[in-house]
Amino acid sequence: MSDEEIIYSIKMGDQSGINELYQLNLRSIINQVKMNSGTEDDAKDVFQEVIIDFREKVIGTRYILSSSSKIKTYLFEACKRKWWNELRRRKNISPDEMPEVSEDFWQDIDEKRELTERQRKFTDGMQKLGERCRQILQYYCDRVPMVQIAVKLGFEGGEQVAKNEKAKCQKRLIEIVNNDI
Amino acid sequence: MEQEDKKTEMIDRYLIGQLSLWELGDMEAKIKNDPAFSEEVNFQRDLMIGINETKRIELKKTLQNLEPAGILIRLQIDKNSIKTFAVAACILLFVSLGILYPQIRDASIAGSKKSFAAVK
Repeated sequence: MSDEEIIYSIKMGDQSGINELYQLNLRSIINQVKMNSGTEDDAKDVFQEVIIDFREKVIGTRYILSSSSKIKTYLFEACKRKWWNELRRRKNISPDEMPEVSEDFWQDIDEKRELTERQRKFTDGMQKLGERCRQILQYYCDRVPMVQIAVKLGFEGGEQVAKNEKAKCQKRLIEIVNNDI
Repeated sequence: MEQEDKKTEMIDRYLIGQLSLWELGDMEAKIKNDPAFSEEVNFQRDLMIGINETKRIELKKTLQNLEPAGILIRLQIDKNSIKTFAVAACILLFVSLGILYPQIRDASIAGSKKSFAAVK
């Protein structure tokens, strides 16, 4: 897949592009991390986090594909940064020893992901929903167009049915969480 | 009820960045001036973050089960590599033939001569 095809597949809620990116680049990331005091598991962990963040950037249109920046370059740089931060944390390395990079580029690579109690409850509540409801809500939050969700999940009534189903599932999730509170 | 659904849909569209500039202006003014509405937006935001987190967890699990692609798979996927590989193979073939052809030809002629002499 080309970079454009990968971006399109992510925006359409298809995971094949993400899987391909991961599988094609994992070996090189492992080598890089191993050369910098890490293990294979460290490399996998860092790369998984980076690729999940990348997917969210694409969905949220925070990642804009330009002819000068390839996805691969972006991922490698993001992994390098994340791994350096992790090493710094583990070994107490001074910030002066960090590789030089433009601060704008890294703006949100190291955002802390700490959920509030209510957010955590919604995450837990999702596990209690049926598979189909989970899928609808996830596609919706991934900004997959309703028409596309209808096609993916085989709603014969099209977009309107998908919208109604999404509303029902959302209400169901809120009920689950409210009963739990 | 319908009014409530419309409001929820509007908040959703705000949170996923799909409002027009006009709608966005109205929405931000309402959030600023109406604390109850602001709380509804926060509630909806938490819901979406919670949903998003499940996607992260599932994706992480999927990636954990994937292995790095082998060289052959990488060649199959990367069309440019296939082209480069094919051109390199052709050049190598022609160069090899260019070097070996005179030797093969000479050896073949010498062999024919020997056989001919033996028959004679």
